[in-house]
Amino acid sequence: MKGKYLLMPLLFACTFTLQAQHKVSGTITEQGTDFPLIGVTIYEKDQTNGTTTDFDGKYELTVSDKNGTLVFSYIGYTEQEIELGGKSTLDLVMETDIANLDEVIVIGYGTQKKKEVTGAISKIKAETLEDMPVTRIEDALKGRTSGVTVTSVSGQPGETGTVRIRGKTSIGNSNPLYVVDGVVVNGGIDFLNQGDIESIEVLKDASAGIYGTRAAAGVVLITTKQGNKNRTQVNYTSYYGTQAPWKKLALLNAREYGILMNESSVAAGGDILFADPESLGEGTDWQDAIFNNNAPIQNHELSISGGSEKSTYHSSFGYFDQSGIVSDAQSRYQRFTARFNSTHEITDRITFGNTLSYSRVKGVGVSTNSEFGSPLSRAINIDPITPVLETDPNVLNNDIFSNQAVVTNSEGIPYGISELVTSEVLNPLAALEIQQGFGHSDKIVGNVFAEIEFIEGLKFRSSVGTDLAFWGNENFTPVHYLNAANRIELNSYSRGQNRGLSWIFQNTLTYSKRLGEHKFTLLAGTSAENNSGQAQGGTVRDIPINNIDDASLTLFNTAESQTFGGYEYHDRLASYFGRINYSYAEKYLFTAIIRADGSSKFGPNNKFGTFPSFSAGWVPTEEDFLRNNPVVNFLKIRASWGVNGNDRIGNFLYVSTVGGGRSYTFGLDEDLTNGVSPNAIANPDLRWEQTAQTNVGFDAKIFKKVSVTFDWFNKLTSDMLLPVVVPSYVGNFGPIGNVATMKNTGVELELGYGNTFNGVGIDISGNVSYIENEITDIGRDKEFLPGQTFSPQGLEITRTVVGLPVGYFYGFKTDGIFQNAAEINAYTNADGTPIQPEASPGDFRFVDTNDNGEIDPDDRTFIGDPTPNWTYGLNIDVNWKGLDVRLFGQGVAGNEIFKANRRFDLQMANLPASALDRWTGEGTTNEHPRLVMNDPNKNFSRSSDFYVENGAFFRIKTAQIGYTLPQNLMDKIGIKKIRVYLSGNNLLTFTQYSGFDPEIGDNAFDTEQVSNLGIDRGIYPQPRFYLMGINATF
Amino acid sequence: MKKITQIISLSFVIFLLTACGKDWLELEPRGLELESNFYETEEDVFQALVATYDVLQWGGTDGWTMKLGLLNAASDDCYAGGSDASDQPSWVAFDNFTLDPFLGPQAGLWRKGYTGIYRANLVIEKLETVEGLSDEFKARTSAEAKFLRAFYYFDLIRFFGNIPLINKVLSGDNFYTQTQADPAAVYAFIEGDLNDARNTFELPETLPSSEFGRITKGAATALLGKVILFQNDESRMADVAAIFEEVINSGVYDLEQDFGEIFKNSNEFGIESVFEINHSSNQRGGYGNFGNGDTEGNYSVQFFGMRDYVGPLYANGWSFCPISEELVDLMQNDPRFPHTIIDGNMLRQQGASYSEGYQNTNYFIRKYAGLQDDVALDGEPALNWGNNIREIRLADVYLMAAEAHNRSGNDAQARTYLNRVRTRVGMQPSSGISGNVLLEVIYRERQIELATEGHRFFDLIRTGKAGEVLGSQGFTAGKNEVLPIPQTEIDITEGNLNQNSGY
Repeated sequence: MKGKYLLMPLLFACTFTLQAQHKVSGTITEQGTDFPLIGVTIYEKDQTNGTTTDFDGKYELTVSDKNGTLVFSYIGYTEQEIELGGKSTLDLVMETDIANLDEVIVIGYGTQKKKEVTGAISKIKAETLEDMPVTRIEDALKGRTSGVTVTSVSGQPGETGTVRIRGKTSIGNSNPLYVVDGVVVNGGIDFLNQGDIESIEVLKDASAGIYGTRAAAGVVLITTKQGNKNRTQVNYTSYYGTQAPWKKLALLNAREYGILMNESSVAAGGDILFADPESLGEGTDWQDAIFNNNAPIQNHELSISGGSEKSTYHSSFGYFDQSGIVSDAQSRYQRFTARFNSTHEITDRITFGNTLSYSRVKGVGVSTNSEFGSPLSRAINIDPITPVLETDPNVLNNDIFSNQAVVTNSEGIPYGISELVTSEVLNPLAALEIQQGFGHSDKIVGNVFAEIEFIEGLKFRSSVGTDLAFWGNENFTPVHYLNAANRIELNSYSRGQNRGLSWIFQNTLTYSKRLGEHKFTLLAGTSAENNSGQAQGGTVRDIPINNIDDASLTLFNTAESQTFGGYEYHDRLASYFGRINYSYAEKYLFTAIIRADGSSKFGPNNKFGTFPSFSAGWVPTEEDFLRNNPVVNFLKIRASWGVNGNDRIGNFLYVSTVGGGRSYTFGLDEDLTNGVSPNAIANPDLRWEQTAQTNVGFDAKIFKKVSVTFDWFNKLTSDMLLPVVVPSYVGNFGPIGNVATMKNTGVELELGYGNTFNGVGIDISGNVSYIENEITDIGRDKEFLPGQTFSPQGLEITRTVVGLPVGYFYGFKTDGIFQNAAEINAYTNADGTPIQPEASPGDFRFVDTNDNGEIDPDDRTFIGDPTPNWTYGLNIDVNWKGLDVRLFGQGVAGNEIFKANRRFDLQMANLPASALDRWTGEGTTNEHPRLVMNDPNKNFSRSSDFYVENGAFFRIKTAQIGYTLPQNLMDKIGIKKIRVYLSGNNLLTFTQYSGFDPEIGDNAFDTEQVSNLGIDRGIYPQPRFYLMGINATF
Repeated sequence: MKKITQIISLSFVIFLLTACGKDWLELEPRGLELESNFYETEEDVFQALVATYDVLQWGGTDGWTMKLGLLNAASDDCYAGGSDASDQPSWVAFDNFTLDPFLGPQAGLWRKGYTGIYRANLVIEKLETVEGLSDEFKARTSAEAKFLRAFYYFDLIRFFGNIPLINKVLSGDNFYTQTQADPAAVYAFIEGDLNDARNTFELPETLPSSEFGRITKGAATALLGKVILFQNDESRMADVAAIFEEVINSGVYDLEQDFGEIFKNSNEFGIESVFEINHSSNQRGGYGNFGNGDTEGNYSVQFFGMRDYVGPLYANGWSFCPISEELVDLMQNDPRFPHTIIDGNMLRQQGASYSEGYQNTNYFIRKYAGLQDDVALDGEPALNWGNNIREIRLADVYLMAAEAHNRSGNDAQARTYLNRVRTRVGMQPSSGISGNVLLEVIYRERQIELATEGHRFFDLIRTGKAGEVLGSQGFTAGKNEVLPIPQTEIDITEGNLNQNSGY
């Protein structure tokens, strides 16, 4: 058997020369897995003798010079040259080449060589992240890998991104499952330090099946760093920068505002409102007043790692502080983190280790995307005539300023109060002044594990992980008068303190064995998880203080002036899982996964769910006909199918709860007697949502320099949870049930290229994904699911219907503007009667989509898709000597944005500058209707395609220039590496979208809202920032 | 030794891999009461019964769907009214009989009825399963639940004609599979419930004032008589008469001496009241909890009031159910007129004012008129009228008894009861008439005595006079005797329910 593998060296035999002969032997293993590597080419440098490793990774080579140099090479691994120095045994661990196919992939409860992976798994390595600062770890995924869309919900510091793996998987919660070092983490991953991350793997297809009932929306596995044996390393990274908005909206200034409001009022038969608009001048630029053009951001991370022969450790400290670009004081995020990871080889067969992290976060924030009182919405809508600060004595003489608790700045000057624009559209600075409060959290995430190898290849691993979080908030609202509708006469102070603990106890048994060409790894495991928490909070009113620093819950007058409330939650999951990885000669690959999850969230009828998945791969480049092909160096064709679940619903929805208040008054005294009845029908059959996914793809390396990964997938989500509509004769409301289905189909392509020309290294990688989302069923008797609304009128702007993507924009279609009365009269139905008899020239021509001869609500139709079909990313690295330049861009296409940033219901709200191009007479425009106060044709008060804009954009996320100090200089001062860089983030955004920012993520929190992706209510935009940073290793 | 260590270790591993049992996943929710374990004591089951009573007060299910107002609008007593035709289109549709499967009050009436039935079914099931209940409690609670179930079914069968008969709490298997029962079977079921109720020894004949509003033997008996009467089976009229005799001769009830006293809020649960639905003005209801019975007020009162009324005595309202000229003419010289009809013109002459609403006749309902003195002091006044609905009163029983005696050949007894109603208000007793002539006189007396109390429409239907009387209003005989089945209900069941003929 051995002889077969010694064929290769025989090829070299004819060139053997008779010299002083020295024999060298050893074993070559793979980094990370310790698997022996077969077929590694070993040759003596500048000589012709060589060999390859055998099945056990062993080699033996006769060399001509015992002090010569051996070259070890293997596709996918870094080529190494080792000086023999007279040694006769030389073992080597081959390190995988960066951006290569043969790296080790974390697959959940184990690792696998990427070469042998049969699922669609993307990996982001530490190296990729090292010099690319991100403010949140989710952002590290943005544009880096195909099939993963990360959309910032807003630009506010600390705000999470919307992470979608292969689209929106559920009408409900579509967030992926985050697993950090084997611990399932709830409540986001913002406790992580960028520098602590070893790798991030994204399980996109059936490979996620190892996480069963929670894997439907994909799984993100994050591995933190461990130390290296016998090598102490200190690393310090830091950056400091400044942020500013990259765009201001063009709005009317005071003069223009006066003119247009006059025109609008007169058109409606009203009076001239501003006698002399010219005298109004520029007025107030509210955006200038509210934006912070110099918002600092800084980050410091210090890590120490190292170890002995038996133990390794990695510990780190981090501090991150980011101010927001909207308001200085009210939008800020600070985080402190500490980590200690270690492993210890207690005996040859027993390893023990831990990961432990602590984080402390303090954040304040403003409302980021709301027409009801976000600072930017106010800045857009408030009139430009009202001053930021009121200094006009005539106005200050007004009763309001003397009798009411008007809000003043720190110097005691009152803020201006608009008499033109009312409701929630307040002076944004005054409103921020009375918003006092912050949120905080302390979080400990960690695990301890032990691994025992009973016999060769048979390992048992047991780990206990915890996620312990304390979080809360404090808020104080002083007595204030902002306008007639927004005033508080009693102050209030509230404080909430919450605690959540989840623990996970996991035990796995792994057996790896090679039998001839057959290599397999068997995994069996169990997991038990407990997740519980309590929340409590209280409010006191009318306390004798006037700012949050002095506020306390002990300060209250009467028992009635304080309120207290809280809730608790508890759920459990018990799981059994198994996996077979099988490989025949690294040519035929097969993986089967099964997981059974029992969840306390479901009733006895469906306590346990079983999730199977299968995948297979074929590596033609291991076949004779394609082996050593000069063009196709590597090719693997993969296919997978599997079913994953989604259990993220509330607890105890399967049972029927009862509620009081179904009362009746008995007796002459009409005594209210409490009646109790079930709140809804029970649904003991309630079960998880499930997603069946088919994936076909390939990985290839061509011309040794270009890597290609392609995938096609089809995801069918069924049993989505929605309220079940039952006939009224049932006598109660229907339960939450497994009702709806949806489909996501797409293709993904990742390309990579790396080369060196005359010392200039170039690395280019890009990815592009195309996805189509379609709702295929929303249950009996539902024509649509209602979605988002705008304004106090509750204008319906999205609906979810069968046959279209989720959360589609909904409204009227316009067909230009009536230029004259003749056009209005000519727009008739079949009987010849005008369709819009009330319209005037300058008004929209609405499309009578149902041809019933009038414009009515039934004419509303589907006018835009908030979900991008295309997402893509591009990364270019060029380095020459110590200099490097990096460009990273990311974009989306095939989506629309609903621009709902003006309060059409407030007639005096400011207008975008585009209103200057309104219709003013025949032939002036066909785009922007006339301005008329009461808007009889409902040009603005209808949801229509007027508000829908192309949402495609491409953004240069990062442009960076770095310099690594020369090694010889570093060696002298005993430093391993120093790199300094300048970086600009969000430098350029290419988009046709006219609002603040085309990036508007989905943070809808329940199935009733479905999705708020792509709805701009005056979004808090992404900042543009400039950073300088340093990365030093000692 | 090493082997042993390995075996022990492996055993431990196997233990760890299989440790979690199913029980571990059974959690008890905190802060939530489960249906499965809430009903454990008499008090708990009583609360389920209260929830069944609660539905009696509902008037805001799927829009404004008060039975009293709707039946007045549909009958020849009143028009729909309101501010204009678009104020309450479903009321207008019922008034004009332009109902269709989508338009009309059917959805709310249907839901209300079946919600009451569901809650009654639940009570009846809990009485069987909950342990430790006293026999006395079980008997009385069962009787009350069965009465309420019968009451809701009686409304549903009269409104819809063809309805599913559901006598237990449905479960997932049969949510969508119900079909309409033979109306005779529904009537038989109602009779069964009412007989069970009234034959329960523990169901009291009279109540302490603190329990006013709960079901009595007299209420169950009177309703049973009415249910049988409504089936129009001449062969059973003697039985009907006998049943009403039980109520009349029970010694519990008597006519008010003064007709005007009957509907006074100060005279709730008076001597004449056999079954009364309690409403309350002091429960602080608001639009926030309007809808499914979270307010305890009588919305009809607000509906009937004069729009923008300024003047003495009355509170203003929304000008629904203006009284028809026909009823005004009919009652012109009747001593009950001033207690039945408000003459708006006369009020205006006295200096009061109000806005004329849709279909204004200047005549308004007096029996359920909102008085200034009765305006709720807290909450939204419009939703908190405390006027109880006199669902069955002795005069009604007398007139039904008279009818049953007449139709079973006992005209003497029929005249006796007819004349008790007439002489109470000082009208001349009828004498010397018999047979069909007498029957018509009884019907005429019913129309006047019970005007605007919500009886007229169903009386016209059961006597076959609706086509003749309401034809000018738009009534189509053979169709409008019943409402359309709510279309959503047919859609959800994917056609297991059939639409009523003509719709």
